[in-house]
Amino acid sequence: MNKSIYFLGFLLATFFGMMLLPWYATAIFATLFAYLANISPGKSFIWFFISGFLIWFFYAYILDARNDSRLTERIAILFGNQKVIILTLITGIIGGITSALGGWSGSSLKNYLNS
Amino acid sequence: MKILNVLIPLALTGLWVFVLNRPIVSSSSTIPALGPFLSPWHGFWRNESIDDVHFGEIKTSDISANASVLWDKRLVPHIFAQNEKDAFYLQGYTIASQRLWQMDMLARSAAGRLAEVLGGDRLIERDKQQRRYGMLLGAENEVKGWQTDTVKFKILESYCKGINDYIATLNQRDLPIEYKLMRFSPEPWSILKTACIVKYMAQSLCSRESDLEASNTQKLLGDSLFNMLYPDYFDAQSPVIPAGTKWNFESIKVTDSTKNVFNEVSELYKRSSELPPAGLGSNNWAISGSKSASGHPILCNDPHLRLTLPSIWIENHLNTPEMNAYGVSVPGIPGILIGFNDSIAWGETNVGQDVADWYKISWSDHNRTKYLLDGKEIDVKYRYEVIKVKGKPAIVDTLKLTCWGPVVTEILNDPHVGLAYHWISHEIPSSFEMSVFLNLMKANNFNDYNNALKDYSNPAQNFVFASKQGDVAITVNGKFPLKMKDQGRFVQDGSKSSSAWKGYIPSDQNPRIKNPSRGFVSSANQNSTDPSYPYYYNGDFENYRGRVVNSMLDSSHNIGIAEMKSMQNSTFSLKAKENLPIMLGLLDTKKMPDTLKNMISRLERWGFHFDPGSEEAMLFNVWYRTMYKEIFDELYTSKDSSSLLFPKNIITSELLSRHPTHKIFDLIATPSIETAPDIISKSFLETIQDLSTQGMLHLTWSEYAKPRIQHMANLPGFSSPYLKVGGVADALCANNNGSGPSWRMIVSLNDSTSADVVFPGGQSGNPASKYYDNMIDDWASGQYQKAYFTKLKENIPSIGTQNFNR
Repeated sequence: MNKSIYFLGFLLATFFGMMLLPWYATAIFATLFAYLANISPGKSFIWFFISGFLIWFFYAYILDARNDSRLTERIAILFGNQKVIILTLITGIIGGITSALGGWSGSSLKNYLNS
Repeated sequence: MKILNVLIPLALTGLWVFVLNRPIVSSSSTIPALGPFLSPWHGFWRNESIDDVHFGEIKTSDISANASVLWDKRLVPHIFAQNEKDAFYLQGYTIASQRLWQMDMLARSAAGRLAEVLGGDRLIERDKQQRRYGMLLGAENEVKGWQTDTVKFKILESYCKGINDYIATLNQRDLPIEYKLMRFSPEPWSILKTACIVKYMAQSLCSRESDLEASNTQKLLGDSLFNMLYPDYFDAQSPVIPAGTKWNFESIKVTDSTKNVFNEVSELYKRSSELPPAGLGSNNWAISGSKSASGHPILCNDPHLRLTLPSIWIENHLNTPEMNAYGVSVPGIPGILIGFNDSIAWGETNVGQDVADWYKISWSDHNRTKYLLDGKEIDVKYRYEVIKVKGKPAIVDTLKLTCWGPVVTEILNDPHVGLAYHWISHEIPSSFEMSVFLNLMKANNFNDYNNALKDYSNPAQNFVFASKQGDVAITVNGKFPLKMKDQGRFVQDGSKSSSAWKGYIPSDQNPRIKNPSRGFVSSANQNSTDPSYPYYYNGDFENYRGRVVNSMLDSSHNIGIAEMKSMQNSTFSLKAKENLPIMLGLLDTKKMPDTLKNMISRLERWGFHFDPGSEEAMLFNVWYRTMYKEIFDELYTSKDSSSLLFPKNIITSELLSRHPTHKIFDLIATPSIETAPDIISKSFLETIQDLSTQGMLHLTWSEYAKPRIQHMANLPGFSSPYLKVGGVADALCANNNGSGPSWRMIVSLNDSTSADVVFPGGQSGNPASKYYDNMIDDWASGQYQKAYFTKLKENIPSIGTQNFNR
């Protein structure tokens, strides 16, 4: 079965679930879907990083673009005269790492239980 | 060992979440927890997407009939309700939806409750000072006074209910961005919080006094020099009530002839916290139909306050079957403070009369638990101020209350002395003070205006008025103490009951004038009256703007809206006009190089306008300040200069022209004897040298003054960029060091009222909104917006509607 269905599931669960759940729900969803996906911890880390990065980065990007960066430009100055794109990238990376750690945990758990 | 392969990633994940869920606290700043703050679902990104207003239907049982709010294209709410109580509910609801964080902070700042949400030693100290000055005490007393009017109190309760119903719609992720940055949440609104904002206004406007500094300075300079440099009244002044006006009332005689020792200074009095900034003031005037091109009255008002983002003002339109009023309010205070309705317009400027005095307390025991009054020992009363501190145990500060007021300062070197603070704003008001505004909103004519003003206490304001019946009027309105001559100018002897105020001036004897023959009324924070007014008062008065307003209006006829706009935006400096020609006349130019002569000839041709692009304005400003410091070097070179009172600028031109050889011009540091020409030339050369050294010699006025609108909490990025605006403290456009015209309003009382308005900000307090700062450019360039004032909903260009249904 194509593994990408799990990543799609992860993206959808994160996008909608985070509307109600706290920010670290990203990690919990990644753990859950990595467990189901049954892939190696290394691959899991990379793929969940990419998925987590994409959803955090693009959601932030869209919210920002829809409002002409009005607030982000101010926040970027507040955080030491940064650029908006740097702030968006940092957001993506934080989403990525949070998901990657979750994904790594989920796959490792599956490996352990399988063995 | 295989279990480690699971535990390690799980532990790392937990650690990562833990770390990112915590704020990064350092000694200088706090960075919010990065996880929630950067999450697009929770943090600041989400604020980018929050709508300015949630249009549509809102269910509430807190109104008695269905009502609606139309939002116009500048995001002004137009409230259409069936009765007053509902209208004020909606005012509370809509203002909270625009400015919740701002009103929360204003109330906390006034009450001394900042450390509770922000922590830090600096704020604990500030909170303590606010409490010691009796801010929370005064706010509590204010509420007690309001409770006497049960009808109006219900309106206030409805307003607070509106705020709280809005707060209840918010969840954590929808909080205004400043709450997320500062990591706290709004608490329910209360009537006490509204009273705190009223006290915030009072502190900004009527707590300035210079009793300590005046006492110190009188001791330093001696009586005769002090009296010459610090007169109560300058003859050049053009008071609010025209000089020569007859007083047609029987005044109360202040009979107490006890020789009161006002000023017995053993050591210099030190102030324990800074005074509110000087330069807060305002202009207002109303011209009658005989002066205007239309034949109808025009009323103008521009209050000068600290300019911040979000702005201190917010526009509102409240309509009920009995009321149709438009204008600005301060977030957290119900009603319209400056505005107009279908029949009248009104506005305010601050009255500078001194209503805050210091009393020297003589302790009779070493523990400072008793003080002397007329030879008897009196026990102090205690009030315990609990100051909550974020992340730490609360601090309890014990406030000692005397018959005069709270003891703010205990003089450390002298165990027998303390200073108690008596401020009119501590008192329990005799009525619901905000009635004045609620009644003005419904006023139809002069009599209604006159009745509305009764019972108002503080901060005292010059209430200007114009009506469609053709009346114009102004009243110096507030509660004013009855004083002996010089009482309250200096620190007073608190061991004698005769040092008390002698009562209050009856409110119907407050200075007022209606339809004067000159065809206009005006005020600009100058003296209320000429010295013929039968009551003594002292205070901090402006000496230039009032004269400028009066001479401009005196010499104008057929005045239209364009002339009014140009007056409000005038950068003309009377201080420059009165000083510069004398300064240039006394300047020794013989040995000067051609480059300097060129500068001098530019100054000679300058029209005294502080326009943003003027280099002359910048040069005059620095030269004048340098000269001032050298004239009054006696004060500046004193080791206690920060505890001294400095003479008003208006004195310099008089000294230069009439007393050029006065000893005040002699520099203490030199063996030779200097006179005015020496000081003029010396200060000019120093100015040129200083500016050249700093590479600032050719800066324009706005490049030098760097005016901008700062965010309330000075958050970088949340303030405006530097603006190209002119103006100076003594010009009608009184931009001065962060304060300036905070709202400009011109109301034309034609058959249909029309108003031109602008303020340096926008309706929204949300930095993500395009309405956060959308009027700054208009304000800076002297442009105005039309207020959409109509009873007909269909005439309002609305961007959406909120329907409040039961």
